[in-house]
Amino acid sequence: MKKSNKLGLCLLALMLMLTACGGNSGTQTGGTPDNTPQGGKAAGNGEKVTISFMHFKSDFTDGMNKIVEQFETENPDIKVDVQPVKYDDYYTLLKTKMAGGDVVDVFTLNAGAQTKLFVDGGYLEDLSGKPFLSNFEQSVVDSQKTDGKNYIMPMNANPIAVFYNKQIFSELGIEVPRTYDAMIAAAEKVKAAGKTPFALGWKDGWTLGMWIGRDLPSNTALVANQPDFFEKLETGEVKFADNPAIKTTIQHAKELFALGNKDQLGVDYNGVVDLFAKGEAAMMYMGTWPLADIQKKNPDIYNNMGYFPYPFSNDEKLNKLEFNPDASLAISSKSQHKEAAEKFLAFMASKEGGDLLVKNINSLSYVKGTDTNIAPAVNDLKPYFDSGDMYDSQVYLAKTTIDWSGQLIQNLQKLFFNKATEDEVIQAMDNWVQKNHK
Amino acid sequence: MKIRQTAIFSAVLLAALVFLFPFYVALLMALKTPKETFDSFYGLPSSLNMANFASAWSASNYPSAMLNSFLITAISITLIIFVSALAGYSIARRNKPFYNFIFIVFLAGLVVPFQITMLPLYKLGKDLGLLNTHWGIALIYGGFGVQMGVLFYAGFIRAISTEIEEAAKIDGCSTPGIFIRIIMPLLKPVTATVLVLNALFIWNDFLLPLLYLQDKAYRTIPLQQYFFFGQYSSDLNLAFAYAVMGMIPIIAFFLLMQKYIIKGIAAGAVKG
Amino acid sequence: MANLKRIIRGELWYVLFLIPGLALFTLAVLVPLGMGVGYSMTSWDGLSPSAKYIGWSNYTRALADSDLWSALWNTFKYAIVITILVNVIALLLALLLDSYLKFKNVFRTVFFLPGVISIVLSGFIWKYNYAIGIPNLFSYFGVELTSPLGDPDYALLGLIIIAVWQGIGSPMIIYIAGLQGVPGELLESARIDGANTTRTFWHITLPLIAPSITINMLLVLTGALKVFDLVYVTTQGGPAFSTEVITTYIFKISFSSFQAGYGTALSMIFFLILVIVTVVQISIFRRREVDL
Repeated sequence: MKKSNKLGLCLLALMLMLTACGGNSGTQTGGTPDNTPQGGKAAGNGEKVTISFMHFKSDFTDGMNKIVEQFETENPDIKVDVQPVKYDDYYTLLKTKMAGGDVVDVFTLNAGAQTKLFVDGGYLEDLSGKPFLSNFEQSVVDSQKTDGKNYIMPMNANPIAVFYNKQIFSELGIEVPRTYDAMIAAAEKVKAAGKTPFALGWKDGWTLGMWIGRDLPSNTALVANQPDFFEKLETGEVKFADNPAIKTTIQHAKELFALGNKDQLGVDYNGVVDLFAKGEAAMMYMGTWPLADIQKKNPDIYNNMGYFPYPFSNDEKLNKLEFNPDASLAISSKSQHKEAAEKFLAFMASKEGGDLLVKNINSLSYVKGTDTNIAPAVNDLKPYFDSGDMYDSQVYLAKTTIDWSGQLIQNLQKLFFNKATEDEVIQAMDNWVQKNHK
Repeated sequence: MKIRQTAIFSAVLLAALVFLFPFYVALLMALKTPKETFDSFYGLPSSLNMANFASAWSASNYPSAMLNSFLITAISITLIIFVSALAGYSIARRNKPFYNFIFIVFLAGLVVPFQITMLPLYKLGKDLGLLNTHWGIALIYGGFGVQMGVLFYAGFIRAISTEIEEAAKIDGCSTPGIFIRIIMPLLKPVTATVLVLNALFIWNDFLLPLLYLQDKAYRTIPLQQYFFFGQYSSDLNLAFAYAVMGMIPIIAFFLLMQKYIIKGIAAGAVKG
Repeated sequence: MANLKRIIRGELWYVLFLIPGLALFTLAVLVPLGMGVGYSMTSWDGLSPSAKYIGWSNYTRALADSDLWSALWNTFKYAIVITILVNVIALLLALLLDSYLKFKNVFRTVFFLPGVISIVLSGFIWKYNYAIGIPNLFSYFGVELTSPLGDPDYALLGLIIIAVWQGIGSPMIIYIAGLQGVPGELLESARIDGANTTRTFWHITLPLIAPSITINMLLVLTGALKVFDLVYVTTQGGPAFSTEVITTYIFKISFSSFQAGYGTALSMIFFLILVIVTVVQISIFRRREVDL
């Protein structure tokens, strides 16, 4: 081949490769927000107002749409542009939009660290004293305050607990465990009987994250008695090494991993819901969201499954029911349609809105007096609802923005595959904290 | 010899089946109901079930995504072809330091990772009003595509003999005249290749549309797919139906244009 | 004087021809690149309205960032294995398809097909294939398999398989084109001289397709070093950091850790690495081609 041929071929090849299979890479982006909102056009008299509503309940897209439809029927002059986004990408996208100066009128947030970040950036409208907040228990409204003000309105809440297969439990003569050790003993029995003790679904980051994000703060605040540990961690006053609970959580993680479904880090949430629905797994730590799916896939299991509080410790008195706020609603401070946005929030805070939420997304509403009858399994928790034996481990994380959970997940995965010892995990966590936060 | 042929054929066939396996699984999932998949993963569907496609179609605004993808791809490619052919011609015909320098700048641009430019690109797009329009994102694709396009056209034009051009020049033909009347008709093979390869890239691109086309009305197919997967992550069969639907246009395009890719390469190898 | 005017007029057109292309290139690449350099010198968090200038601190910090080095190590491991695998398999397939094979055009289409679909799609399909499809298939033969993406020792390999599946098409076509440029008479006369197939391949075919090898190696390597989408849609860097590549690390720093300034500095370093790799590779292969 002549040299000139070579060049032609090279050029062709270059073109081909880079376009056809070049790894296309990128970060998402930000930019300083300017003050020219492009979302809204000013609404004249009688003109239809459109508000945008971004939410992370994308698993319940249809359910959320039904609620919004009802709102639109009752408010014919308001149109809601609903944008559901997968939870994993939700905050990246929301931040990109906000930083780029886009306005989303209403959006979901998680109370705590994420909300604080948006408050600090000046992106949220102050909702303190709005009449619709009176539809919630004062304690709930107070617990979602940021810097003493209400920037978000509570929407729904979920118990996070352990589903169990009643048939497997009764066949093996297992009682509902009230302590951590009893739960592990039950799991061992299940394993000996050839079934899967725990359906984990740890391929997805959030399943493992949800669990460590509760086991660790619970043990830290309630067993090790360091309720302000995470605040001090962020300021550098304490280290993970100073917290005995981290060892407990690592130990728990190891045990759950060993008693988990096979291919623990290869099977995702959908996979384990299938496993549980097939009746092959005895227990699954989860919120109420898989219920609709299980009902569709196997009604027998759906009607014959139970739900018990996750015993994070061996002290029965401490092991109350974890009950967490899920999504809360916020209005953008840059919104051009604050009035319409408030109407939407007021609707969501009404009994009607709350009941629609319960019905359509299988979750409990924070609105006073709404329905609690979601599924047979959830009725097992009624004694806890009635007695108020509930707690929220997330309050121990509320004042911090340090996102240690993603890092701990990766380090635990090292531990699972014997690539790190317990001490190395703790050391790695402390190094990471030191590097990333002041 | 016969045995050897058969052995080779079987080996290639096996490799081809392995390559097709993921497509088969996708199609299988798309045709089954969740219950059927739950009961047996590899079992064939009880009937040729199009319900998933129907609900994916109605849930996803597919025609609008199709139109967006098509418009953006078409505008971008037109731009790329136009600007690259012009610049490529200059570079090919003026073998001077200035032009060679420009050529190298284009080349170096190819190495810039998206990570660096992504963040500023969004800001820039926002400030210049390029977001949520078809032409705005097309301008950026134009800027990406021109680097490779110039390389390609310059290489191709260099191999074209200058004799006719010299003659035309003596006859008083201007540079644009020469380009339009003499060069352009010769560029068909290289243009076909540029077109096909950019089409594949732009049609499938995900991150730039994610940033530039946040308005639902402007979503392209991959973007729509991404959001769809997010929303129906628990209904895999529906998600796969949508995946298959999303593949159809680009696969059809590839099958139709396939010979141009091959021809383009052959032309490049001979003429370049 | 008239002469000079004519030269200017002649040159003017050529310069004008460059302008539209340069303008787009400036908009899409040069300006953002310049802005990126600026961001990399700040401690911007990516959300707040203002950013503080901190000079070179982001760069000095990067040098001591051990996570960056392990991400780079993963990236190179991934890219080098892919470069070798893709080239060997693509060349092998090209050789087979270049022979007198029935349905060779059909096969060529099949091998190219995965490269046509988007990475979002292929990542999605493979994730379920690995987790459910393939283990299910093998269970028919009594073999218990688990998803490679769930095991830190195999996750990178799992990604490599997907990338090879998607990336074989274009190099294969380039090799086919290269092989068609090998004169048949040369192979024929070698065979008459008693050289077997292996010998002809090593001594005649391979040297003659060296330009194709060069270009394929270069492009697959730089493409693989820039991998992002595939990792992002399948493993997001896990499990146990085993698939954390440079681009996903930059992404996490910029967004999960709210350090957009540092993230941009890291991508500048990555840019530098890509330039070095490209230059080194081109010079190595250039020299080798001359030797041949």
